[in-house]
Amino acid sequence: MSTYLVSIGDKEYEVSINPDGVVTVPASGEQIDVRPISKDTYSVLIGENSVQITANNDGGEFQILLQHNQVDARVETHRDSLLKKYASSSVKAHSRYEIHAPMPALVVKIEVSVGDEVKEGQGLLILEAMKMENEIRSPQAGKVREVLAIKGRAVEKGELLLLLE
Amino acid sequence: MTHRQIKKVLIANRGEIAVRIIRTCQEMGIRTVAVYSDVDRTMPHVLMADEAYAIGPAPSRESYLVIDKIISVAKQSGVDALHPGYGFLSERAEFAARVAREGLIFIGPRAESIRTMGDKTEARKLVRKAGVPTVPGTPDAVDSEDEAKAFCEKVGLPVLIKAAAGGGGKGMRIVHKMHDLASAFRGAQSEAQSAFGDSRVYLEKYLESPRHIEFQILADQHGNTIHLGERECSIQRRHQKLIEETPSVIVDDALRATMGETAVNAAKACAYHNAGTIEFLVDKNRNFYFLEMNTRLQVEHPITELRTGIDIVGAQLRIAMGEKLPWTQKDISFRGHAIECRICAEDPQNNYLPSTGIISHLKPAMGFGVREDRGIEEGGEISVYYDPMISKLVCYGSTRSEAIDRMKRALREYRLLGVKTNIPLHLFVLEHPKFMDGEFDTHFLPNYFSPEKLPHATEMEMIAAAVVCATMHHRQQTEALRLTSSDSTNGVSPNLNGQKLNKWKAQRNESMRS
Repeated sequence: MSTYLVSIGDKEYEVSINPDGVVTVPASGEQIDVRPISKDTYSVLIGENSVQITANNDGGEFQILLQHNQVDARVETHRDSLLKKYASSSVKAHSRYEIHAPMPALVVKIEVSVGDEVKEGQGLLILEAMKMENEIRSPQAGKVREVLAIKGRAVEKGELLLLLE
Repeated sequence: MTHRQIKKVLIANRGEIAVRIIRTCQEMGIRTVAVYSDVDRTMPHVLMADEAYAIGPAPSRESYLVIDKIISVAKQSGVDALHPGYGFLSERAEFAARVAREGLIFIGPRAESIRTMGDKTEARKLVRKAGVPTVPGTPDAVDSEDEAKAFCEKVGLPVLIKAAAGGGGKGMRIVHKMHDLASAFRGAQSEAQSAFGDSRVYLEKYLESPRHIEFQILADQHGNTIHLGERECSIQRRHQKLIEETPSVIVDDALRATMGETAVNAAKACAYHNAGTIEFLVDKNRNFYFLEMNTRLQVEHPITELRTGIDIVGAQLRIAMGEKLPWTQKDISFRGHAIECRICAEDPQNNYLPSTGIISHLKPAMGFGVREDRGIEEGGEISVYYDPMISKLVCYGSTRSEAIDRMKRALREYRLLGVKTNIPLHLFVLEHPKFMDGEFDTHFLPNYFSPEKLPHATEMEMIAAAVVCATMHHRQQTEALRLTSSDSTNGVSPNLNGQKLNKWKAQRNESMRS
């Protein structure tokens, strides 16, 4: 029997798959029948309710179509998740304080400077991509520690733009 | 006007509009030539055309916007005519002029009409002479702040400052308070200079809650001009249209006749021929004002096609060949209701941020009354180089509510993974009581939409999603294990691919049995 922890948004589900392929979810009392339709699409019957799920698997990181919206999910084995819990208690994740470019773009405007106090949702900088200007907003309140983006320069997807503390 | 047969057309565009134009050409037995940038080699417009020519790197200013390259393909391929689509070179007067100079047919208006209607102050002056109402504004570009102030005092605030050479919201400023005028005026001038190389701006009274309603025009080269009714385009985000429908709930037969006639007069004022669109702003009291003319095929033309039964691209080709319009205004009849939703690669949860990536899964909506115009397939990439529009989903119904219900069904049926899309936003609008009642203006989205109003997945869907992720992960891990254990001592197995496939098949068969 393999047990997995699946996180979708802020929710977490335990899913067990036994050697015969029988799937059980403690959160649901219903019988679950899951069948592949194509490489990325499955039919799931929960009791008699029919749900079609399409998902991309990128090494344990998933993208799923839910309510016509693309949502990220992660799957860990029970063991992985225990290991991570121990590890994360000692090392505080700093990635939340890094602002990365969500797409390749041109830096049009930088709206904050080092030392500025910013509120959650406040505009930090403006990127132009696909003929449109897009404001990158602060995911949380904090103070601007470093600005790495340069006005007028192009940035790659994922490039570090700004550090908050 | 002599009749000139068109046997072969170059489509100076890409994406859904190139595909749209190729389809009609094929129906009319006209051969088609596509052009493509380096990243578009395998896009549908290339696959569908009879011939395809490379025109350079991905950025459009190095490929789709280079007039010399397009003209040289036209000569090399021996076409009779060029269709510019929308965007790119479609509203560049110098392109239309160059095509004509080369002895080829430009499928669109004369260069002079494009030039006149492209200059916003010129266009306003011209249509006013033809008796077309315009938003109260300064007749010419305004040079000084004093002049601007005098105008504001005359018509009252709020006032809009706009670029004379412009469009698309660039160089535009709204002034609500007199003390903001000076800085807004200078800001608009410098923005206009950097966007269009022309700092001239003019002022207009700002209408508080306008609807954006436009009329489709068809005009032949023999002086016959008709309209094909209106399109309601008020649902916009960031000055860009999102949902269009026809008819508009506020346009009755009498208003349609008046606005239609006015639109025809506006087109005649610049001796227009081919397809064009007259955009109006309509205020609360149903007063309408000329906004601008789009001298090209419009993105949202399909809704008019569904309601009139007229193939607008087909009409464009016939007009360009010098044929007379086969219809008078009396022959145009309207039937039912049509809606278009522009499906874009963007994230409505996150300030409409564009989303790039490869479309890994695409199952379009089908069934009665559904039309889709799309220029990308599963496996195609949405890149930063071009417009983020993936598809135009268009639904027809005998009534407005039937068309809305059909569109909701089609949006729910549509399945696309790989990039974020605005499908949830479309559903939000279509389900909103104000939209259903037809009570909306161009401020609908800023007034009513916020990301937390988008629908959430049910617990049932969440569990199903969790089950599928776990199953996919489980299969991948089991697969990896089996491969390692079956991998012989000397490393890579020679028929790894074959093995992988067989294993996958076996596993699938296994789960089918379970």
